[in-house]
Amino acid sequence: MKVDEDANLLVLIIDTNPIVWRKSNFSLKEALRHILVFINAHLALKHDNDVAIIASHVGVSKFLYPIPMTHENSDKTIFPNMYQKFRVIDEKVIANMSALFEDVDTPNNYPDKASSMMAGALSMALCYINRITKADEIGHVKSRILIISVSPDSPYQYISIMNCIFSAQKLCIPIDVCKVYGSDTPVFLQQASHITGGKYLKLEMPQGLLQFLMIAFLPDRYNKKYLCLPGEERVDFGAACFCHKKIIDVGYVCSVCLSIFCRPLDECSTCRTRLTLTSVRQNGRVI
Amino acid sequence: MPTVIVAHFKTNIYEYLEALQKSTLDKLYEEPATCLAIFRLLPSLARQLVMSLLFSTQIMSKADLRQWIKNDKESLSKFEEALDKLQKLHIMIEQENKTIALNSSFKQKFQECLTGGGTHQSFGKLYNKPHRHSQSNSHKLPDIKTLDEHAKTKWEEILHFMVGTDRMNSPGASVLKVVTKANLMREKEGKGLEITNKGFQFLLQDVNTQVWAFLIQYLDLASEMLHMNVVEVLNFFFMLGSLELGQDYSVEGLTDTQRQLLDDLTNYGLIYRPKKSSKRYYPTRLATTLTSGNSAIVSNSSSNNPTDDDDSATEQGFIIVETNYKLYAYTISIF
Repeated sequence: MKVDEDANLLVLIIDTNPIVWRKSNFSLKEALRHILVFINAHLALKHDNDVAIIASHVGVSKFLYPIPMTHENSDKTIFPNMYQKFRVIDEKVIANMSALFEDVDTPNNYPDKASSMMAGALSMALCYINRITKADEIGHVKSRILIISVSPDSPYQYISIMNCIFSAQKLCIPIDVCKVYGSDTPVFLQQASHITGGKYLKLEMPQGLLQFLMIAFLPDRYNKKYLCLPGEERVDFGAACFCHKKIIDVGYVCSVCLSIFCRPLDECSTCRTRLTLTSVRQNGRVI
Repeated sequence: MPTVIVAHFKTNIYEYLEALQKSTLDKLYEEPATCLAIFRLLPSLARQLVMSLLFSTQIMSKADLRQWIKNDKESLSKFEEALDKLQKLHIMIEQENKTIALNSSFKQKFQECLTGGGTHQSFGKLYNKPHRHSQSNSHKLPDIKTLDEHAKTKWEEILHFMVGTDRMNSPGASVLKVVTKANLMREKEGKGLEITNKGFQFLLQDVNTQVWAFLIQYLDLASEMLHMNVVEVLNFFFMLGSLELGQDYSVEGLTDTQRQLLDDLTNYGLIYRPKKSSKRYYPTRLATTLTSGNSAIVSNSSSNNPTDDDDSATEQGFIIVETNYKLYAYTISIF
């Protein structure tokens, strides 16, 4: 099977934090229109291409497509003006996203309303990709993850997000990030795209979301080899300390398990090694 | 003279389309389903270039596009190949002032394809009336197994006829015309038709390539002898490729040319109709896999898993040649 005939699986993680979307000039409804056309474009490229969409909401992350049909069977009406595959997926995404927003209890009860459940969404994406890859015996499904992000990364999720990133790196799954709105810090998603070989792009003009998606994020792994794609070159390698979840640039690292701390400790909380601070004393001074 | 084996069905259709006039192609691009099917025939980089330009309103030149490509030899050669194919199909047109733009008809209709707009009904009109015969037992609605059986029977009828096995039904007159015109069979002294060298090579190809080779010959024949409108016939073929297996579609909205096609396509196994005068038709797997490249004939053992296109490989026979020149052939005998 020729390499450019491989099927591509795109897992799209959409950050749906309603509070942050409200702050930006660009509404989630409008963005969803752009995203649906982008999904159709991805499916149009090849007959075998597939897509999975996960919403990263406040306090919860859910699959928007595919979800197993339980009670009501899929509506079998066929719309002659649209290719069936596009229509089915678009309708399911819209229906499931409406259902997600109708549930107001979960976001209300969740303490940190400024960010979204990115770690959960990433884990779900990786599990799904793993399942699809195992089920595909011929080995011709190539997967990648695209994150459309507006809210800042929560330092409380630092460890989980890093674990996901390293798993993605091991499985050779590139993570692309499209930052529609919001500041760059904290920078966990930047590091995610850097380590896994994806692209991080911060949009100056969110109204052009579709065009940015088509040029920078539509090429699959095969085409990326031949195209010069826009993206950030400099990466800010900030981290969050394990003890207080503060973002730090300089800190203390356990020499056994590489956990990061903002203050020197006697015992590492992760691996329970006794740590000595002799190396900290230089020239008789404690740094 | 050695005959050229067409390796892939895409090459077949592609060469046919390249030979068409720009005005014919422009008319073809007025149907979104056709735009989608032809788009999928393009090489990978060409598809990406089309997508990048599809929603853009900027004026670009060839040099601008070249800036998107990496600077190594392989990338640039792929870029040239992509541009060449796009220009030959008149999807990308170079204007006088050195700018390059998408064919406006293609651009608009492909946008409609992706956004679901328009009133073209290009993806198959559903048959909405309740099935009159569902109550009576004489005409049961076909399920996917019946459709597969029908497709397999009809297509193998044609193949067996070419090989010359004695069978009760010989395929219809249009089949005979197509195989003679395509030089797959020729007249034997008064004793009917016998297979040619080209015909043997045809038999060895995979089903998708065979179906397309057949359809293209039919297209040539239809336009020459029956004066059928080539654009309408091609639009119908590409629409068939986008339909759902097991779903019935209405003949309303089809042009006269397209209705004429229905009979012939039923004979080849691409379409199933409950009755000759029926107002609806069912595409078979041969039709729905026309533009996707997946396996078109599902063997009996794998019929519960229709998306598995790997099984047909294990059902076919194969030939092994050892380095000591011994040959083993595993086949199914038809005698």
